[in-house]
Amino acid sequence: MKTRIKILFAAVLFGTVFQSCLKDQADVFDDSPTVRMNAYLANAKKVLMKPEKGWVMYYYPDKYQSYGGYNYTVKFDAESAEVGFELSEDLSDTVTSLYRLGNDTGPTLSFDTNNDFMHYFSTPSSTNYQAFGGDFEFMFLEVSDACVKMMGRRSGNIIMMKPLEEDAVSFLEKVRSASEGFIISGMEGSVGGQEVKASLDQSYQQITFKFGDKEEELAYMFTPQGIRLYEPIEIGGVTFDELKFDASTFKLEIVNSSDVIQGTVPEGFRRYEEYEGEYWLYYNRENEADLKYDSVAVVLSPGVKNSTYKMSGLNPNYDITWEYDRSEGTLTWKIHALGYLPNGNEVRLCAMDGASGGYTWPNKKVMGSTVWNGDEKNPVYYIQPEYLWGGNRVSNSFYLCMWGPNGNRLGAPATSTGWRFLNKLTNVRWLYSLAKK
Amino acid sequence: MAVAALSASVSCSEDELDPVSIISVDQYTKNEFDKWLDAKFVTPYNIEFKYRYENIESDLNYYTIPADYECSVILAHLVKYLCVETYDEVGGVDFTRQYFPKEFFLIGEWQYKNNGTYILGTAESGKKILLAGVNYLKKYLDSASGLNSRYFKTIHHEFTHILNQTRDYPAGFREVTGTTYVADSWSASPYNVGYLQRGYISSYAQHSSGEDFAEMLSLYVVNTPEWWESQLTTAASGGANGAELIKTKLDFVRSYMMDSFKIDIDVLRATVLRRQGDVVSGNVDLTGLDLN
Repeated sequence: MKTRIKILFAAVLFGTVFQSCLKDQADVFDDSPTVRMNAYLANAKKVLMKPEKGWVMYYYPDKYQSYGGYNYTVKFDAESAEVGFELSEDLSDTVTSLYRLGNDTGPTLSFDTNNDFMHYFSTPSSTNYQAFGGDFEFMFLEVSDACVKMMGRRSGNIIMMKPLEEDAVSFLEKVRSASEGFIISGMEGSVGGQEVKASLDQSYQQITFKFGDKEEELAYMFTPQGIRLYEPIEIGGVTFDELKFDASTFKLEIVNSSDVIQGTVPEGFRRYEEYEGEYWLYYNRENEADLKYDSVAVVLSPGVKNSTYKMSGLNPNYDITWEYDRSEGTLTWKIHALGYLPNGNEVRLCAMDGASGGYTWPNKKVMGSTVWNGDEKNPVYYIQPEYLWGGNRVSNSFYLCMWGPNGNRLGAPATSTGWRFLNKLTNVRWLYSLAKK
Repeated sequence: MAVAALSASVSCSEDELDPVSIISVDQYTKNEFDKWLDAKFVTPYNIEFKYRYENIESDLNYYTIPADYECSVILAHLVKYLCVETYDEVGGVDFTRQYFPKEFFLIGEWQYKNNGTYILGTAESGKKILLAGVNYLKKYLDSASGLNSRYFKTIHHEFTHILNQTRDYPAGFREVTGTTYVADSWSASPYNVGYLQRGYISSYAQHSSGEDFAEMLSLYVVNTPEWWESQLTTAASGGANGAELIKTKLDFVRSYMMDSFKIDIDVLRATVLRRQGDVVSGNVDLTGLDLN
């Protein structure tokens, strides 16, 4: 034992006595990290405030960019940021809030008080607790007058900002008009001599290129002339990330190349505008052979263009939202909030299995989608359910359910609330079709 | 000794202290509201009221967003009038300074869980209260019950935890309904109904004795005596002994507050109710940023 102590003591002594001390170690940087960080942020602030018309931000929420990309316009002053947004109903609307440049694992830009536009993709809800995986805190990667490159803190996505060369509103209007005219579901042609086909998922702004034995999926966003890919792609030796779209010929020109490819649409595709009008909603019909069914008059009126429809007729207090799938040209429905009762309980449209009465709780999936009968004069849209839980649940019915102030699930609203379907029903079973009047 | 002497003698630093702090401060200048918060919260009580989002203060298990500026201004006035000054009045300024949480952190949305439920607020290490859902504040301004159910019951609830973290509550309290706590099942059937008859003042009180204690005190002080009596009546319905259990628990709460902090919970309740009335009837300025 004593020997061990001696050895230990000797070891400690050795280490202590013979330690080196490099007095003349040269600093790698001229200044301390703090001084350099402060200088970096001071410069970033100057750059952010510089462009007269502000910046356009190419914004991609979600770490897999699975909702596509969107344009924000941002004008910075010393304290606040004025934000415009491609999805805003009125494109001249802006929302102003504070921002801060900080030091947090690197130089960051944070939109740190509420901004309905900037936080749109990060705002969670009871049916969407992870929101859309969007960011409002960004780490600077490069800062220059021509381009600010950042990384979304949560998603890790690359977010670019470029100075606007025109007024923010007119820029967003051009983007909107480009997106509204972009009603194709695929493309085919040749790029750099290489045959290529692409399919589009317009609801989630994803494009899948197939060329040779390769397949590559990328998110895209709209530009004033067409679309921009999240990252450049190389096909047949041509590297590109932008395509210009001609709405009259459905042709797409690869920017920085002479190649042009053709846009395509699928069978059964209906344009957004074609759904507007008065319908009979048929329900209580489990299958084709069952002839006893009920119907109710409903009206489909446009919500967000090329994105949603509002269906009135089941209750005066609320409309049901149908989403327009731009690559398929169909309408789909999902579980969503309908509104609040005076006591604070939230009422949601949920999905039910008509046969078992089983429910499907919050998720973001499509619960039903329309299939057109192909008749231009008397269009009927059959409502196809989804087969969930390995086919154990068929989402073929609407169901009403309340959620309490603490987020606890309650039953359906009482008849006295006036919130039931057609003043009495807690569910509309076996949705069958929407037939135009 | 020898080792110490050797170690001490081999130091070889000739560096002078750098006049620049290594702690960098974020680049923003204080606005009117920041100055108001300094004057009304920091200087008198050493309470920091953080309304601007800071990643490090948030709970990264949840997807959260920043609080709205205007709502934050209103909430700061409400916290001052309904909580800070209430405790000043009832417990004395020194009580507030010593025990009231030293930090508030606001976020805009509720903290949603993946099962559809959500969190209204949390308390941390006896020091900090996180208040969620601030962007909905304006919706509840004209109703005491709305303000309470969303925010102020939460503050009193979390403050109770902080008091408990400072001085533990009596062991006897844990015994009263010690065998019927149900942890995370409180919001699910069959526990989401009939809790009064089982001796719980709220569904959430069934979570654990700590939550039960905080629910008892917070619901007692933000509600009217009539409300409390009506809960007891329901608790006794059908021959259940819920009312007895709740009364026994309330006795523990009452003596804990009196013995540990010299606070009479009935005086506290009367003060809270009077001040709530002032707010709801519009007699309190909730937006002014005058420093005097």
